[in-house]
Amino acid sequence: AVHQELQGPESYSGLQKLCDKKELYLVKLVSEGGGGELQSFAAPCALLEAGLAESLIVHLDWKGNMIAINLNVRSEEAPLKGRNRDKFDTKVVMQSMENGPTPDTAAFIQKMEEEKARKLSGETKDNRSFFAKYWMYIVPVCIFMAINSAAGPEGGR
Amino acid sequence: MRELVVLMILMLGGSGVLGLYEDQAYKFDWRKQLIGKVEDLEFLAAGVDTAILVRTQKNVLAALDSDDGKLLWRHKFEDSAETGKILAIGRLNRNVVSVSGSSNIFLRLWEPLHGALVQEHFIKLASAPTHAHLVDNNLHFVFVKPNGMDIVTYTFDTKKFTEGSHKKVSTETTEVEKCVGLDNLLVCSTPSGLIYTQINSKEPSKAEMIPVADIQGSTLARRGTRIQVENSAGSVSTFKVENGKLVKQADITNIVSECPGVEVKQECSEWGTDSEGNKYCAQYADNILTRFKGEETTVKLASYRGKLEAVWSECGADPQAYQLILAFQDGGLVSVTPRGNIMFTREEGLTSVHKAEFVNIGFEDKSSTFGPLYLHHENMFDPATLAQNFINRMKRHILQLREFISSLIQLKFLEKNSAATLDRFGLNKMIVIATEHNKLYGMESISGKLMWQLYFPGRFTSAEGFESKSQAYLLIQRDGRAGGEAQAVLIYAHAHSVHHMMTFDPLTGKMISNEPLNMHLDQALLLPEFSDHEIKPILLVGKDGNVAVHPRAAAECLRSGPPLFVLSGPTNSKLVGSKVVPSQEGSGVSLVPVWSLVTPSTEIVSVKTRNPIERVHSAGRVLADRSVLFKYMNPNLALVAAQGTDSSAKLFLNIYLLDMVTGKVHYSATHKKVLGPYHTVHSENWAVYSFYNEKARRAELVSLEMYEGKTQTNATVFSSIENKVIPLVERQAYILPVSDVRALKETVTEQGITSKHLLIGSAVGNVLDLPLHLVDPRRPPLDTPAGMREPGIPPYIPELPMPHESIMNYNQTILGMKDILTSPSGLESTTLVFVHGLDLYGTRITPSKGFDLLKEDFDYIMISAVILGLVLASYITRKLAQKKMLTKAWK
Repeated sequence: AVHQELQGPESYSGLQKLCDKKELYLVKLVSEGGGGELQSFAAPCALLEAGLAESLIVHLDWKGNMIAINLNVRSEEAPLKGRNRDKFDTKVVMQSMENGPTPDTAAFIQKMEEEKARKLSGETKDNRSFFAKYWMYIVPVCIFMAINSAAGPEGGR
Repeated sequence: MRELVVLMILMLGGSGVLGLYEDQAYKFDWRKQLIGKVEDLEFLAAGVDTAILVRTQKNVLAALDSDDGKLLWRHKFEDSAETGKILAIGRLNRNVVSVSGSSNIFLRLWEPLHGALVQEHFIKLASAPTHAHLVDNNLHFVFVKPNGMDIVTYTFDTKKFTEGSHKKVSTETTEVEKCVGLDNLLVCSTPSGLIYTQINSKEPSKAEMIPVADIQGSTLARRGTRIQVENSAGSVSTFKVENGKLVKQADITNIVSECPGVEVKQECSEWGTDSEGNKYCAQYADNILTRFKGEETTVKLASYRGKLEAVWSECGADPQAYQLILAFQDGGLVSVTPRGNIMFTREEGLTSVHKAEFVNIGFEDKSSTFGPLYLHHENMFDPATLAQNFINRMKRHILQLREFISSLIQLKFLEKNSAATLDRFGLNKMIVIATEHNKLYGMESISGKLMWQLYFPGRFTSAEGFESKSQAYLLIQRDGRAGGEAQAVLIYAHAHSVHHMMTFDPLTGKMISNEPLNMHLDQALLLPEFSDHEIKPILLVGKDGNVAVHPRAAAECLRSGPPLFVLSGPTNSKLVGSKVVPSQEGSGVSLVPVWSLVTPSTEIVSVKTRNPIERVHSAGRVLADRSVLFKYMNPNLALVAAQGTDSSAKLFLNIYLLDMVTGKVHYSATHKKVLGPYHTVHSENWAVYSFYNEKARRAELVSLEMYEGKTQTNATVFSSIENKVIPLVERQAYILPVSDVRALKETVTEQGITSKHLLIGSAVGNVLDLPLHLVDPRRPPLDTPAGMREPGIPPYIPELPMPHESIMNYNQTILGMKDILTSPSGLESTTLVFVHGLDLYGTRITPSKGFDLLKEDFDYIMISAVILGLVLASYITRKLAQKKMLTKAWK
């Protein structure tokens, strides 16, 4: 469970000051078990513009340890929420680590086996029409004949 | 099946045949075969000539020609000290003997002329011996135990191997540092002096002790019929055997050699004092003195090599003729004649490359430059700047023309300019190498020729992994292309002091300055070039969080420039990103930590960012339906790999794609049951990493690609803070055709138009040149119909091919490969490659073939003849036509 400590109107003016000085708004997450601190930051001007709507992504490793936090400004929601709000609106998202990809050998082997089986059960039936199958032989013969027939009468003359 | 055959043809056709023609071998590439820093050396009479048998720190047994130092043969044993370390070398009748291993000992007999294996004996010992000693056909192992020493003797010949005697020797001390054998005596160094004992008597005995003040036990060595050891004041104590007893001779300041009467001396020209008040030699004399029968000869060394560490000598029948071989601190092996001439030099320090960088030499002749070739890009389109540039350029061309004409008149155009050959296509660069043996080298990338060398008194501890990389930094502040002097900086831990910063010219090797840093350095970073500053500033981060910028004037640029973020790793399992905040006035700079990544109970093994000189040519890729998928190209992204141990004591690997400015994790994945080595590459919008899958017993390569999607947010400027795109990460895994990957690198070209290739170096010694589209994570399933496939991407097959013609170094094996370096050349098609390890190898490759190059066998004569013929023909036909017209008109 994540316990959030939000400061009220006072921090708002503080944010304004940070924005004017072009500094950064830092967040620190201190775990109660003494596991150390995690830090992240956001641009204060963007945060003010978004009406203090932010999201905090907590990254976990596969053992469930917190490894990093990322503070993001939810600027896409700004027009809906209205500006100059005095309260932080924080969404907390937990993101866990995924298993890395492994070579997909199973599908490949299956494919190869299908191919083998098909070969054993006899060649695949070719149900294309005669012309579709042998057009590459027929067409040159036709052309050759056409040329011959065109050239033939001339030579005879 | 037919589909598969078609697929194979497609794959071969698509990737292009990469091989060389036979006559192109050795044309673009060079290889240097090295052996490593010599630990022990023995002269052999092999046939007519004498050869030198050596064993080196790199577990290499080699034979060299004693006249020119050329390699006759060599055998590289296993990398690990446990199986490959050579303990002793010797001779037995006509054969060469080597003893290697630790508790499993291999005794091998070799034929001395060609290095063929004659016989191999295997000995299994209960524990690793402290010392192994070969005397003729006896092999003695010394085990140091708490209550004394055990000496086990074996007897061998070319056929048999028999276990001999055991002997116990009691000693007063147990701290035995080093042992050497001299005939039948075993002499060992202890902190208080030398102890010695008879080696071949069987009855237990007590070691005799000779106290030596301020002894440096590691310098104990055998030289001919004497034993010598140095003390910390620099003088040498020598000992001789008389009636089975070790007798001390007079202390001398010279190093004696095996030949009677030959002494070698290196004087110290400058003494220094370290922080604890100990005296050390800061600078040795440039020349070595040899003394033979009271006559002193000076040996002039071409370059400074640091401390003379060992001397071996061979005496001929004629007492005047001897050969000295000197081994220096920088790994150099120098052979000297009695007259002080140098017979050969081997630069064996090059086998331990710590850092290496390519440096542009530049296209322009230094003598005829008009200020910088490139003016600042800031106001490139300002009319005044444009006019200035244009005038400069015209001036340059006129000058070049004048020079060309004058050279033509003086018939000098055939003369080659020898000083750092300027080539117009940038195919030649300077490779600057910093070795772990305290030497900087400048090497021509086109030929592998050493152009200069420079000594630095650094200190390298044998730490492994991420930490060891930070012991020295080689940063190129300005290369030769920008006009003016090139400048580079080497930041190193001084052997007796704090970190030092040495500024030098990377093209000529001229040292500009060498100053202490006065801070406990944590890391040094090269900052991007600021527009009003010609050289890249360096940010120095201290262990206590102190920050300094060098040169100091650059702090001003930091204040006016965009905000800067740096990464630091305070511990092995934590990364901290900090913002660089310059103070309002003065040159002070401080760091404010803004994000962190903590990977509990794992160790971060690598952080790989994009090559800063890399350019990306296309912003997207065309899909099968003709829409464009835009690449997510974040220059601040890094691929972080961390290794940990799970509950069943198996290793796992965590991979993060991390934005180094905001600390945002864009992708994280874990691979369980893996083994190292891990190699990562990140470039453009993709990253690949390789590891050994212990479960499946194969090396795997995972490929990641990041895309923004079908729309692009901001095509001109990328800002990590303002960018809100969450990239789509495509991923796929492949099986590598090599099981032991030693190095992984991508090719890089000037403009990024040429397609990318991956270079995979294997432990066998070959480098596979793999087109990147073969590891594309978007390779479609095998049964995808042809119409749905994206152009240029073959269907997915888990195993990557390894055609023999795509092995970059064809039959030139690169032993003990450690890393691959790539650099763009001036030609878009060509990438320069440098591979280092025990061997050095340099070549150039053309990933998309040489599209901007004329063919090797381009027929210049033919094409000129054809053009000339055409001109002639058109002239003649014109005449003929005129004639015809004239006669026609007369009709």
